[in-house]
Amino acid sequence: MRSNKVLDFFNEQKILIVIILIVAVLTIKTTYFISFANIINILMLISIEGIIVIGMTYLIILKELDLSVGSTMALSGVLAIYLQKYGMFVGIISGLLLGMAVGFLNGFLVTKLKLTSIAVTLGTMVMLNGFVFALTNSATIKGTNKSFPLIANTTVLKIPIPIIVFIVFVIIFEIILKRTYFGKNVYAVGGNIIASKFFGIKVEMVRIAAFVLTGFMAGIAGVLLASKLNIASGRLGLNTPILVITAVLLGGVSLSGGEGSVSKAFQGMLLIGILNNAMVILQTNDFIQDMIRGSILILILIIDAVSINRAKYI
Amino acid sequence: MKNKSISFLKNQTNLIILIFLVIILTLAIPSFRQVSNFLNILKAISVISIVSCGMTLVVIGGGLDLSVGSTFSLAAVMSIVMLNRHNVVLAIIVPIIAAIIIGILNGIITSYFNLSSIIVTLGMLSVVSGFALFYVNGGTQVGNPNKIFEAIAKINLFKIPLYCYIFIIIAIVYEVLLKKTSFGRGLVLIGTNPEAAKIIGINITLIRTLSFVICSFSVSIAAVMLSSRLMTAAPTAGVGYEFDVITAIVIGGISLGGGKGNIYNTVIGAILLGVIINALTLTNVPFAFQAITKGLLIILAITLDVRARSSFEKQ
Repeated sequence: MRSNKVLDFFNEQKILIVIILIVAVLTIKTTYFISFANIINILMLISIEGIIVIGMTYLIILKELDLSVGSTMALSGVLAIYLQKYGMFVGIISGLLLGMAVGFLNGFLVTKLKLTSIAVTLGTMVMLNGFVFALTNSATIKGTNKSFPLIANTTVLKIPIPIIVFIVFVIIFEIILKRTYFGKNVYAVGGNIIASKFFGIKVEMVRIAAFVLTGFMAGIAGVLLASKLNIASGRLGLNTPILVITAVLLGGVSLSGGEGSVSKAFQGMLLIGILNNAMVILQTNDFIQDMIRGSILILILIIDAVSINRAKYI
Repeated sequence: MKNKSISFLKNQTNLIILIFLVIILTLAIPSFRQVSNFLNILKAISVISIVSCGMTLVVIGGGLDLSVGSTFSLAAVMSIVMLNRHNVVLAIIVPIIAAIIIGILNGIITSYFNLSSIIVTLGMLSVVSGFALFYVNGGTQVGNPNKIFEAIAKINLFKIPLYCYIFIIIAIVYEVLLKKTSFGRGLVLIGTNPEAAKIIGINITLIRTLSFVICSFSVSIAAVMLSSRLMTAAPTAGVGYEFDVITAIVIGGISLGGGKGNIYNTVIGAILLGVIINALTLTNVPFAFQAITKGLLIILAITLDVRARSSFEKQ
């Protein structure tokens, strides 16, 4: 009985354990690893795409996926820079609105027309990419506004703004998921959509809201990324959907829906960030880094599957 | 009798659209009706169609293979590297073996541990693309001239390149596999209802793994064909390929939910996509708007598919 509890604890916290192990090994190797500068470095790398991870967690709990987040991010960034000629805030707000509009479109198509989210968001992904290329003429566009780059490059108490936004959002959306009526509905709909309908939950509203949230997050990420680099291009965001989905799943959020949390997904993203950073410090070949990331994802899945099977037999 | 012809027409929506489109384009665009243009379309769709045919089998079995793009890159660079270092035989066989190993891994991990194929193949995507880049240290490989290897793309039979025949043969073989063998019937059942398939005693692990292996095998064939045509291969050649393949399948009307579909529909979908892209290129529509059109097409295709299905269910 007691050993089971220990096992359960390890199973529940395996990502945290992997993170602690990596940190321990690297701290022995170099003290730089746990220095303030390096921690900020790691968080900065993951913060912008990490914001999208929050929205994607809600969607995956609802058994949906959004492949269009990368191109939404790219297009929001393009709008934020392209519309600067009408004022910085016009650009920012249109970037954010665009994200919400894409999310609403995805949500509407998936829920009202009862379409598969993978296929719908694949369609919007390709389409938005087209818009990005149309607006940028397939080139990189540079920002002209002087205060726009300051948004992502300012630090408060030595912490850059994207990190603050990321951490605050993780906390807020974890609380919304765990403590509010809406969050409980998200779990209910993800767990059993028919039963939820039966209990009078506005299923379609919940699902559309999650898509809008994800789109909004992609919009914020796009604006922050554009501000950080002061450029926008269709090449940004190509790997984002795969990275974001990997982070959520790595955190142990199940694709079968109804379970998971923002804090778990945050751990997944943190693991990716720490791994990347560790491999850079250890001077691992870039290409082997990809292989290690993929292997870890598959390994964690297999461990998950084996432990679930064992639980069944006990 | 009348019902039968109506349902036949309903099932052939894509073919009807394709025929109308070709007629309109032939009348409207002079450069479209040239024989060389039809050959261009055939060449353009051959490579992607082979991969789509393999992927169709995986999708019918209720899975999805996101690692096709990276497998494509790996097979393409392997083929050129083997050609430069060894000989033509290895240039064809080694990529195929590598792809089959990837397929076996994908299939066994997903079916034995009962995991979602989307995540497993997502992990495999990173592993394989990392390996492809590592294998050639990120550099594009240029093949030494080799007449036998180039022949795959250069030899013409009745003015049509050899590799277009390979595509047609593969499509026919897969359709026969799907319709006439116990593998195909098992695959459809697994895609429709895995629990029932298990009760009947179908070996789910074997059949699913086989579908992944066939998919990866098709990828390697397509990659070797492309390497032979271009005589160069970049380790990033297949980036995003998985999305193009899924696009062709979705436009072909194959349900991503599994259990439904056939190779014929996929091929029609791929041709339809190829003709539309070709027409847009001929009329000088910018690349950006081609992407927008493609996205709209995907959404339109799945919307129409669901409409057709729900009205069918009402009857």
